[in-house]
Amino acid sequence: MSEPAAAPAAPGKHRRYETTIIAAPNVTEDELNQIVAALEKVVADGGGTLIRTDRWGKRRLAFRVRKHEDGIYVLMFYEAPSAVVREIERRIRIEDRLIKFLTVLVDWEEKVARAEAARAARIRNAPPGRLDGGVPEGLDSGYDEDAIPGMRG
Amino acid sequence: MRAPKKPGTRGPKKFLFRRRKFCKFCDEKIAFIDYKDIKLLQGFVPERGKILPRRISGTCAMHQRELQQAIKRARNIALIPFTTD
Repeated sequence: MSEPAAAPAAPGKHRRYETTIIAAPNVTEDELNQIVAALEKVVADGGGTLIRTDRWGKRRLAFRVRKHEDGIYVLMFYEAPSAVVREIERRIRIEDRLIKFLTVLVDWEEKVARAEAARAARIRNAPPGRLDGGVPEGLDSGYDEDAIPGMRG
Repeated sequence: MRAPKKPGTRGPKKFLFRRRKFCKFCDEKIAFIDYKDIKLLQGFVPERGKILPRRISGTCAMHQRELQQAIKRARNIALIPFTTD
């Protein structure tokens, strides 16, 4: 769907979070702008950095939420101390026009880095002849995917 | 790549045309399973809305855990149903 948030200017200090909020479908553009701006301000005031705000617009919900069939999705990516997350969630709960939210710690960069490191280690320890660190020929599972066309996928 | 294999030489190839299972995430080198990627997740959530078990999808243990997490997050924000009736 949307791409991962871009890397921040100054990496490091705080953890990165991603908050998805769903506004009721009858919320107007202006109202939504106001709500989002207020939340963005919380990030700034709390010593965090806003990375990006994405708007998905209105989409159908998978199930009814507070009697609404649709919702307006907004995603905020930011780096901030945990107190900011708490404050943002508190405000979202109070705001009646927001019907659902989810905050997630963005740790995919670590996972990607770890996967990369593991791959590099595999290559270092690989037997000579296979630079990609894969399974040497003849040592795999005994099935032969290439034998039957269209067997995979 | 692999040398063509004579049938019956090796491996439990009793079911001749049984498709071999493999982990989609290892295969495509997907490093991170995003809960927002509904198209991807939907492939692992059959009509009923339950998470497809590993024994059917062939997903490896590590990726099944991440997948499970992603599906549960997606459910939380109403991207994917908990159940359908």
